[in-house]
Amino acid sequence: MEVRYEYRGEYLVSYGETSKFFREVLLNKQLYGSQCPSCRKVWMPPREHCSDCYVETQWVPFSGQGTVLSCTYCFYASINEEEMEAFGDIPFVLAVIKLDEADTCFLHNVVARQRRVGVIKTGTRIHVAWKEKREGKVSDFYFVPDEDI
Amino acid sequence: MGKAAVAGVGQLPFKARYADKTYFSLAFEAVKQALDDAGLSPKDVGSVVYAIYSEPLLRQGFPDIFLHDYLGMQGKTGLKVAAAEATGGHGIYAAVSQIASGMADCVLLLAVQKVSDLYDFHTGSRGDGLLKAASLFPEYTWERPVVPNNIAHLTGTCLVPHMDKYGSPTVEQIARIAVKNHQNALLNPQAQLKLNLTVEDVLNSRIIAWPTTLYECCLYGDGAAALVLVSEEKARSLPHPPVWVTGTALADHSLHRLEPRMLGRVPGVAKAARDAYGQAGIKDPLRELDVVELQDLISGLELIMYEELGLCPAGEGGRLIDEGVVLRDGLLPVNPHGGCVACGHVPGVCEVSSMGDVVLQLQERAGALQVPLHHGQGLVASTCSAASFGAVTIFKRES
Repeated sequence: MEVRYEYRGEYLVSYGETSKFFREVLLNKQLYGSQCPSCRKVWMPPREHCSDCYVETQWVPFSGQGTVLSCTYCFYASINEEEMEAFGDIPFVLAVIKLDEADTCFLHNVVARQRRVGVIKTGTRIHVAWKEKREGKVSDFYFVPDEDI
Repeated sequence: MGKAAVAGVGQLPFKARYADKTYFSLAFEAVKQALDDAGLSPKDVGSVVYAIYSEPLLRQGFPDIFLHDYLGMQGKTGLKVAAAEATGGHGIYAAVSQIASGMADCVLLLAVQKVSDLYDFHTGSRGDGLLKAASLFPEYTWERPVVPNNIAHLTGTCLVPHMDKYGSPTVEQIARIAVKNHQNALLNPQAQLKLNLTVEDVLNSRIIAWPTTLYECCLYGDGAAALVLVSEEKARSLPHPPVWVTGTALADHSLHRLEPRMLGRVPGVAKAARDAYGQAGIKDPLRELDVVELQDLISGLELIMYEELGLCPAGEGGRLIDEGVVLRDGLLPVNPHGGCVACGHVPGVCEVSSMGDVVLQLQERAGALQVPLHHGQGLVASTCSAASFGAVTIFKRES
């Protein structure tokens, strides 16, 4: 015998110490990282404390320029409707991105004109692009190749 | 420090869905098998370690306390561990620690997971229901809005950078690993998926996250597995020759911190392997082990894990499949039970079941799956879909 159950958790999330990053994304189309005053490492995503030195970091602005260190072409969409819009059509690119001023890298999407395996690849130079409608999430921005490909 | 031995094994077949069983019954059957195998009763158990990977997927917070009652363990020590796909490795670490420290002389390690009750009422698909619930697992603020799921994560952060750096594995080598495991599963009565695939079939199957194809991806399903672990004193009076846990190590290395030098690596497994080899006195794992079970969450990962486990130098994992070293009749069979792509991938359960497989191999009770024994040692290694957790356990039969 089978019966329907549903569980739904809703959250009103505090970004806490990372609020500045999302406020700058939302209002100023500006990416920020955080730098350790001791070891000089620049963290992206930013964190309030340097996990290596155990000291408070300081906010530093990024130029928005970076490089793809690795990527894969995904031939399926996320099941979560709210995020499907960010990915666009398949195949879409999930890339490991290193911003020029950062020491750590992060995962994000790169949108090129041609949706074809190999167009975006390791070493591709990219820069940030902004969604018109932003809501304070990491999916408010994405990356596009510097070259029109 | 005291020694710990595996005294009994319980394994249920991996299935896409057990519609006729709740997780209580799955757990009970695996535990009963393990206790019967050890010639012990529930009264002999002093402590239970619950390797239960995900509460949201099971639709139950704290399932361990309800299982504790159902399994007749009221009042005894209960400890739940969860570490994504390395949950079983973390579980045996906890169980062995209790025995080695003298805190318990008989510990039950139980892994159970049921995911097939998940359902997406919009699409009418259980698989979509699972994917929706599993979207809780990427880091929620920075990754979830932009990372579709774990196959893409593992391919993008681990496999592709490795291919960039070393020119290997090639797509053909990856496909051959998938074929090896699918072929091995044909002999395994417990396996969930039995497909007689060729390299061409694998390469021509749907691309999921380039270059990973459909048949190179792990399955998902329901299952349960249990081990009974005992102290050296207790091990001497049991029906089967004891298989000792000679090494168990964990190294968790979150790859949410993506440092460029860590791309293409599974650093937790490398560190855990070094520590476990040190405990077991293993210097040359390729030539001192008889069997390895590891988590091929995607087939490309298996080749990278060879390197992290020290079976070959970095960048040379592909050679082990090219030369047939890891085939069923090779120098060191890897995943002779079919691996996650064919035998089954129920996080937590598949590792504990793999540990049971290695124990049965070392006791020469593996039936059609039996591999030749030369050294009496086997290994189980696990990580997770973000390559962050690392767990390595080494087993050795009574010499």
